[in-house]
Amino acid sequence: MKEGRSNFRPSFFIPFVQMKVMKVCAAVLWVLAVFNASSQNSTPVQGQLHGNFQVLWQQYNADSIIGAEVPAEKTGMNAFGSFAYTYGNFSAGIRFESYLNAIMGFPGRFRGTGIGSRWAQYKNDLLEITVGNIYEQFGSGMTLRSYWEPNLGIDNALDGIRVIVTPDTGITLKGIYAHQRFDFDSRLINGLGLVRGADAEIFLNDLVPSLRPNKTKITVGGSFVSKFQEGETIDKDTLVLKLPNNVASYAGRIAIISGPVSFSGEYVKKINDPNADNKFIYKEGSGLLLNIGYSVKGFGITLQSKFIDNMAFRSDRDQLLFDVPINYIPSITKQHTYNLASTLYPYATVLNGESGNSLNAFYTVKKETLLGGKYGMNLALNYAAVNNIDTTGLAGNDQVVYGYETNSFAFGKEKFVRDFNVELKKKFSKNVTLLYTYYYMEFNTLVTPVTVDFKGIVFADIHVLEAQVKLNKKMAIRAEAQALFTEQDKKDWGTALFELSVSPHWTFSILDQYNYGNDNAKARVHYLFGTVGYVKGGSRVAIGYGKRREGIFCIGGVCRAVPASNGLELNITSTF
Amino acid sequence: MKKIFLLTIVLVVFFTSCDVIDEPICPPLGVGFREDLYGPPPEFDPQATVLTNVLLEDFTGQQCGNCPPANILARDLDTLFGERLSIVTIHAGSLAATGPDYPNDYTTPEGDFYWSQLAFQAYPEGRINRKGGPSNFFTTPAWEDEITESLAVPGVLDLQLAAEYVAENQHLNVHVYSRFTEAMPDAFRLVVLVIESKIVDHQLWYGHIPPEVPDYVHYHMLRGSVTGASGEIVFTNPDADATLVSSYSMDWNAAWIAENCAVVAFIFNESTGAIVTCTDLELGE
Repeated sequence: MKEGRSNFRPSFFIPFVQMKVMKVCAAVLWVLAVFNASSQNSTPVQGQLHGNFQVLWQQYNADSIIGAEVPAEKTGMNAFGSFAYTYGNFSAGIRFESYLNAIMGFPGRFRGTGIGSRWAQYKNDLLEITVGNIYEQFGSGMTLRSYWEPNLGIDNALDGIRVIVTPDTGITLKGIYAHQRFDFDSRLINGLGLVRGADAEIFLNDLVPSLRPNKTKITVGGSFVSKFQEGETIDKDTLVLKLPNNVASYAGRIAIISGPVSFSGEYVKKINDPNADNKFIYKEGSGLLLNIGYSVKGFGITLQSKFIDNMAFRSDRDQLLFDVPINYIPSITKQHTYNLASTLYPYATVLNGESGNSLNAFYTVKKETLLGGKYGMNLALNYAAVNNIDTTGLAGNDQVVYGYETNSFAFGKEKFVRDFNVELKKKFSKNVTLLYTYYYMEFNTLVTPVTVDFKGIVFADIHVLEAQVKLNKKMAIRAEAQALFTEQDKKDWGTALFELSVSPHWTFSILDQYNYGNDNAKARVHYLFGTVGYVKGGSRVAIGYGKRREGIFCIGGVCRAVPASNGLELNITSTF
Repeated sequence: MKKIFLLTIVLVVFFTSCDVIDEPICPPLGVGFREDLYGPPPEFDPQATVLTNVLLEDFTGQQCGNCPPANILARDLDTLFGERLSIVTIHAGSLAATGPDYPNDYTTPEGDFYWSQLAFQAYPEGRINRKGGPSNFFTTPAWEDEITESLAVPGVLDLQLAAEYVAENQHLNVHVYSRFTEAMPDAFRLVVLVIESKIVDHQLWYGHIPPEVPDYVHYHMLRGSVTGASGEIVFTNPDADATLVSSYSMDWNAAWIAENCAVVAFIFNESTGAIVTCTDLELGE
């Protein structure tokens, strides 16, 4: 039982303010459009309007074998339209959103149609001022990152004011003061927490005259972010604990580029922040991100190291998952694109603590060599290893209040993921290109719960062969054959993809994902999905029909559970 | 000037936006006797004879069909041993859950904590002066003998209690007098609990026809605490005659009926968990 914690509660004050803001935004856009139309002959400044639309509609059929359910309305639809208008130093934008009702797997509380984002901005040589919804990132994002990822259902836009000042060449100062988007119910709904932040970035080569001719380029920066949420005490076990209303996170960073060598690093700290992610412990958080790279023509290598300890940071201490995250922890595992590797065992960043290293390298075998042949050959290699962090649990009240002590930045004993993959890409002729990718994964399903069928480490080998063949000037085919071998979980899988492109408008594809190795014969299902797409200019219409497997969909280490589905899909996108 | 102004803003934001909490643990809930309202705490006279009293903690649940016989046994033992025995009936665990026929939740954070201390969680079972440590428990056939044995332990702590419910201020005032008669090693914690009797509500009882009893009378039910489940340290390595009066004013919970409530106080050894002695006082007296 917890008391004194501020759960989200809608306030009549918020819609009142938002209605006013919406009206003001609409009025500003309209006035600018009229003004622009009437003044085009008298001023060289031209206004520009850009935008994009997306509609995703799904129809559902029941399918007890794959566990596909049908909502009461039998269909779902997510749609949005964004508009941005620029006139000289001024710009403004607005985004309409519609969830009628949200497609399955999205936050079910997203519903209705209304304005999900609105903003206005003015900038000159010294200042850039933005009011309304703001997307911003400080450094690598470990102190602050607000972003919109419609495919994941994430929008943690800041809603307030941001000022960016460039007082001197090479110096950029940012200040932000805002609430944060939490929900959507025919209108934008903000959480109660308040986010305040400042960031400074200095490009030393511009600031220090003696460094200007230097080939080594150095950038340093620092950020500070504080959230405010009211709260008095929390009951935890038998203790009553004081809640911090103001929780701060701060970071320092440096980036150096010298010829082919680059280095960047950021270290972040967070003060006591009891929250639902860390089970309300008062331990400080910290994080370290290091990158070192070497790149020349035809060869590049990057080493990354990451340490994260208790770094979930939200503007509402009671929220979890996608709700009101202030920061973002970059992923060092590769984001895979092939069907089996990307959907069966995708790794999600563990905000409460992980320690990892990765290596990424590519090499281009030159043309007219034994291996390279006429067109050369590309090799890419990636390895990532992530474990828990090295900690010692505390005892008694200290355990209740602080949880554990961190011993070092080193790996803990629990393996989270191992991901090795190598890709060969070889063009054999003007019309034929082959790609082969091999993956070896060790994946802890207790840490990233992608399956309910197996708890522990899955050892998997994946082979992917892709062929790209140009049949003639207008037609091309792309085919993939994929196989996953494992003794754990649902055992072996295969995927086949065939895609035909008829330039300039049409694409036809069919995908079959087949769990042929499942011990349960009834679960050896073909997840067959066919798509027809039509593209013209900046617009695309795609219709698909078939089955989709229950699983996890990830972008950048952030993952969303996707339920099984069986039915028709319509996807329309357009930009202008 | 412009840079200084900006820097000042950043520094102001920085220094006003951090609540570093060095001591997150709040003092126990009941701390702070309202002397401004009620005057000084009462004075206690040392008892000439100091005996060891016994606390029986009876773990139960409204959906535990085997528990009513244990509740009845506890009340029989209360009659048998009189003032030397205090009883706290703790609703905790899965059989204390609410359900369609059991709409009221009688679990408490304190009870949940005590339940979590048990080495084996089952119903009915009881702790007797936490003999053998807080994880140790006794089944009903052993209760009488264990209580008798514990009552025979020579007394070393004079524990007295004064309590009053002040209706106009909705306060429970509690004063606990404690005096060691011998020097003792270790630290000792004082716990003050509130229990309530004569609560009429549903109870599953396999020995009753029908087993769903809608008007079962619950006695000695743990309702809350003044000090928290773990209490507060009141003595560390006390000398003989080490004496302390601990006074509390606690906000009353309106769901409790004062005349049916009692206060139970006990002191336990922090190292072993064993209770040194206990006492109770009915507010309706």
